[in-house]
Amino acid sequence: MAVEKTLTQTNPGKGLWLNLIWRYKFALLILVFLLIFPYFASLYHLRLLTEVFIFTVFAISYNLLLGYTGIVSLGHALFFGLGGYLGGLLMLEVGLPFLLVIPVILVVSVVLSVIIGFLTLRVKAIFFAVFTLAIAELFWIVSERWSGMTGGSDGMSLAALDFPEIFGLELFGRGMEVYYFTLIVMVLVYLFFSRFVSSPAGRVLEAIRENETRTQVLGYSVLKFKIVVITISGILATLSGFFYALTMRFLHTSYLAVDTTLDVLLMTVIGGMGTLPGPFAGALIVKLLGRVMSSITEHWLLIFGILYVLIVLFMPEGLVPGVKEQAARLRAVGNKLFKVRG
Amino acid sequence: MSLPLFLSLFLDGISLAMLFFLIAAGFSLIFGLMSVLNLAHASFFLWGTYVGREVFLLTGSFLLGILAAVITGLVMGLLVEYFTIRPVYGKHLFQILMTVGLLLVFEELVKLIWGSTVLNFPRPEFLAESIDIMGRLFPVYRLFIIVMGVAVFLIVYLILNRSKIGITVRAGVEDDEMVQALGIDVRKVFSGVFALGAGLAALGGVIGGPFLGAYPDIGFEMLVPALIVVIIGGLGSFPGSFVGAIIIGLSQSFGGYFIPEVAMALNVSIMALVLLIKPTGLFGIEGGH
Repeated sequence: MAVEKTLTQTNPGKGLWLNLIWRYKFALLILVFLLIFPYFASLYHLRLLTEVFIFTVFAISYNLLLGYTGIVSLGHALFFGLGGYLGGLLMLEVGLPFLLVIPVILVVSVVLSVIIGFLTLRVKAIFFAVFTLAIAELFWIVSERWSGMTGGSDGMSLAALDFPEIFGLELFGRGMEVYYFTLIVMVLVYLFFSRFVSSPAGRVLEAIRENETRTQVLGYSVLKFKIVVITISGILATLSGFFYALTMRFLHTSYLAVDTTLDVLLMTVIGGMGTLPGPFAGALIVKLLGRVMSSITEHWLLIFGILYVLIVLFMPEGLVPGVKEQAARLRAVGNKLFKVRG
Repeated sequence: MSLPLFLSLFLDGISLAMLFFLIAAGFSLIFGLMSVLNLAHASFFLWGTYVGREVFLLTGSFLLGILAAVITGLVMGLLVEYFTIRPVYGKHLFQILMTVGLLLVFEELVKLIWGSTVLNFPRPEFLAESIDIMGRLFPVYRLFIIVMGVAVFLIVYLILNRSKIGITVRAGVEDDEMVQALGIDVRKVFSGVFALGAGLAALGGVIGGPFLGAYPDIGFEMLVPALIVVIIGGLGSFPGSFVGAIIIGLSQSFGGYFIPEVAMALNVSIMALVLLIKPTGLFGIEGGH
């Protein structure tokens, strides 16, 4: 809606572009910073940001469920791990090329989403939460026990893989290549996500979050919309898992573990449920703070847990809207001061 | 399969079922009464195990350990309900988010205090024996778990069905607004049931300790089957959680005996089947919340 407003307010032409740039000034500033970052950063920091980009995609997929539709999944790691394991193993064991692996894992992900959706979304919302938790646990247990195939808790290296090349660039090559590739993926997913949630379908999702019964009565098939959204979310999560495995050059059962779901849940809630920049902010905060705090104390998850509980209690919109609100308040105070002086 | 092996697996399954039941019962009642999905419920089990073990080792009395665990559960339940659940009553989404956070915090606190390693939880001496069941040795301790579980089931069942408080609770599960309208303070009933449920889970934790051991993941590991139990039995149904627990306990022990990975797959399939045929669970009430 925000975009449409500017369209009607300004004449097309020069003014429009300036207006758009002004409106998205923060996003553009961040993007420019991220684009030039590799030229002065160490490999360690590039690596860290690459992880943040991938987890942003994962968090976007979760935000779509939790923030926009109000569906709680406790087994989102299932799709992340599915992308990692199925994709990684198809490349390593079967030798399928990268571009063929993607459609295969996406089809599997869609089938899984639809089955889970039909089984659980017809009844109370909590069935979905419990069922996804149970299925993800099941896959995790299988991956731990079936170590001949998955490497078990020792993990499995993908270092032997030849990584896909496009125009002579190795997509997952060390350092800059993988950095830029995942950055592009993140920006594309972000654009898709911001268009999708402001589309008519996205509006219906928000309506479902606010009042499911009323949405149903208005004639929207809530079940269909929900199944579509868990499918899209599953696809994004599967892709992020696959890219994560290729970036790490490693498969590990922790991809499927409940900790991965908790991570993405923390990112979404801390960044701000139902906001566009929330997933990126959340992924950045959780990854950065996680690195910093884990070097200080072994029990950093405790601090995260407490922070998280406090956010749910006192700042349920998350940090991004919370900070925005504070900024607006400061600005209002500033304006008042000016008025008094003038 | 020989008869003694069958019997031994059967008793194993039932004793496991009793532990699932002790978690699932409170969970189910809390959901039925106040439609709060309390994922932190497993933390009460976890804390029951550790506090019970600590007191048992300090005093040498298993009974004191059980008592301490149950009190811990009750107090934790009251505090959690008052400080973290009340602000989010009626908001399902925030309840799930909140209780996931609490689950994390309580587990990390256990790691902080007792460390992450598996701790030995010895059996109390008077239950340390094993008896001979048709040529197979079976620990008396597991029979003790079964006796405890059945006793708790009967007591709570009688309270729910024969006492005034029980009638209020059951009425609250059906329609809490009506109960409120009749002049009963539903809030107090909520708090009481929440604390009682937490106490039951903590009881499960301490008597499960010598059977399962004490380690920080135990709460979460018990949570998943307990949730499956609740769904199979029907949310809000007390007898449902007992029957569901027996189904899942048996599926766990028999499935686990043949192929360990199959146990969980079997549980999930049973849940999927129940959801497909009767989405409200075996003892579920149609409609409800």
